[in-house]
Amino acid sequence: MINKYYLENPKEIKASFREKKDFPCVVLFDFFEKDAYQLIEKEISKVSFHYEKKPLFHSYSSAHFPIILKKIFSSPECADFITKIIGKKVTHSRAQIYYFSARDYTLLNDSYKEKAGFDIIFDFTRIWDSSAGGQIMYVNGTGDALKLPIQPNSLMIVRRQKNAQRFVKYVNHTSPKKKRVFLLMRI
Amino acid sequence: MLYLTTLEKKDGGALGLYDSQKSVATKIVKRIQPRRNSFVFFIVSKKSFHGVEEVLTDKKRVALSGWLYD
Repeated sequence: MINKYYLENPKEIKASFREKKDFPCVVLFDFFEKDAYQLIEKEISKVSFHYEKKPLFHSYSSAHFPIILKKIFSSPECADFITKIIGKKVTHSRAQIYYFSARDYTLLNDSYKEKAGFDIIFDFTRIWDSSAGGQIMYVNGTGDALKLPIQPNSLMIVRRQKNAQRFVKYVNHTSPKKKRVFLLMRI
Repeated sequence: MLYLTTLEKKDGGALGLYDSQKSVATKIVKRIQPRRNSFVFFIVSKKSFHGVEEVLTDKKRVALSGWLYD
């Protein structure tokens, strides 16, 4: 199910994850093999999202994680792989699928502060021009930032450090009818 | 705020004034399009919120803004 290269090289991936001091993260493109990803995409297309706007906080649509996808991401293969990278067994996580389109965003807000941990992000976004915004960003108050790429079938693991906060850049009008969809699992 | 340029509705860039509940902005209740040489002022308080909507054109949105304190 998972790209064989990743399964065979967890040590290198773990080393790459740890070497980034400010924002420890790793981005794994083409994470699932083609057939598995097609199945996942099919399931995502069936999900119905709920729109919510709180101007000072966010504007986006979200949905609970479908059971079939939950099974894939919590399968022994996936769970073991993530455990090897983060060096910790996943005992508790919260997962939600987000759908951003034109005019959606999240803002940095003190009430969003989370405990240190890990974010597992899996991207389903098909065709996306980066000038449309929608990037997941991490900031830590020092002026430095981490901008995650937008590409389908990519898994990103980010260590949430004490002072780091996450937001999604405003999606501008140049993305009409385009959907930015990703899974966010918080550990 | 003194607007130095004009943007039509289709150009975006409206000043949005929000309703609020318990000092939290809820929704835009008034939109004001920038119009050259027009002056807008409003009370700023813990329950007043405003924002500028996305500009959808290459035209420039130029405004002078300031605050008065008592």
